[in-house]
Amino acid sequence: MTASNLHALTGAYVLDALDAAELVEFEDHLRQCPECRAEVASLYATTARLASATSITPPAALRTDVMAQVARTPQVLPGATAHRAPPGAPTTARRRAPRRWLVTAAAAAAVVIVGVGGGTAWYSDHQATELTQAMQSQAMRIVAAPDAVSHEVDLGASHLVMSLEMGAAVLMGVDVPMPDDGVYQLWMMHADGSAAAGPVFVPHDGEVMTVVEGDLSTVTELTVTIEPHGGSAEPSGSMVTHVEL
Amino acid sequence: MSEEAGRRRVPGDAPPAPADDRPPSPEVLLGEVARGSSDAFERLYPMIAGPVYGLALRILRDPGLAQDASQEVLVDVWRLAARFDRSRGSAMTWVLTMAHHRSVDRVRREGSHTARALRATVVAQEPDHDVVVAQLEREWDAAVVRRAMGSLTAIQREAIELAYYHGYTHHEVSTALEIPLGTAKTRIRDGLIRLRDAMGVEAT
Repeated sequence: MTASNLHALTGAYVLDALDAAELVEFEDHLRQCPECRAEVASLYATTARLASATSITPPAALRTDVMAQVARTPQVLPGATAHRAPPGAPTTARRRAPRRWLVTAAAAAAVVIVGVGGGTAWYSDHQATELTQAMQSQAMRIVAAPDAVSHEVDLGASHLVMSLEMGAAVLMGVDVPMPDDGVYQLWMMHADGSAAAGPVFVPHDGEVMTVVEGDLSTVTELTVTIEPHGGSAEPSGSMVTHVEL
Repeated sequence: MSEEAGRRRVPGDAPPAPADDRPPSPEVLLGEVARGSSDAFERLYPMIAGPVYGLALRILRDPGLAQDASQEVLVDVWRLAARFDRSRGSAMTWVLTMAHHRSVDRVRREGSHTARALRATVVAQEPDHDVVVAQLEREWDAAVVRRAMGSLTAIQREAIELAYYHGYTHHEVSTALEIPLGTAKTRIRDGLIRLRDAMGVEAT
């Protein structure tokens, strides 16, 4: 599409009326075109006026529910940048912007299993919320550990942060594509070729966070495979990525 | 709270500047929210909840769905406050852009947005019992919007209404209005620009 045609998309962009392909193309254009950025800003301010005029007193229950959820929802840190998927489109690995990671969405993982080779308990969405919070505070402690080391992971835009002292590592990322079938599973590989089973995880809105605990000092490599739902005792599926430690 | 107490003046102090009596702007509150202040979020809430819910209800046309979508947006305001960039617009614009995005997302997932629009019913505007001023502001806003909408051509107005309030893509707009896609794009843009100028909107 030519630049002049792209200029004409400011209005449809602001109204969330572009399809997925156009949205990608237009956002690329937007990064390079100050005129369009200025026009988009002014048109967003215009549509905000349309929205303000629809104002209506919400049910009291909304406030109660929002405050309750806010009380248990961690915030993203400054430096994170927002990119958007087209409304109605599936979230894919389209967004590639680097984001600084410490804390992620409350529902980072809809299904998680914590612990190296531990029991394979499945958690519902509902339970996962509380579990995820516990995991996030643990992730914060890992990231804050004096000996924490970070590795980039080629899975969306992900990082693995590990602390040998704590005997724990956290894998967190954004823009992680859904596995075609099954779930992701993390493995701790040892020099002798043996693999200790780690947690399974699936992205939620492209975001993942999962924690492994155990003696990591003998682990030479972490790998991620795609396994059947429920995970496997030994790696059986295709390898997605690996990190040498 | 203690912050207020700390600011309390002693006799002989200069009189407070008028600005001290004004409630903090949404931008100031959002800045505090970004630093983790749930107190600031509680003060921001009444400023944004009405428009967020109103827009969601206008688009989704179902109080339950609107409440769900509003909750997601309002929690996102808390969660993502650090991403708010004042240089790109006002706090209200940021919040309502997210509210529109989320509501349109919902209505498209429901898969029935076009059907909904065709049997669109007028959603009763419940009176705002709490704040008369808010009521007046709303009526003023609505009047300004109505007048600005009145300055559009019929095609511009319909195209914007279908896209903004009903979640149509511009392809769907072109089909519904039986106009070429290129025309739909330009009518939407021209119409928004005319609205902007009619309402005297500035970006920030």
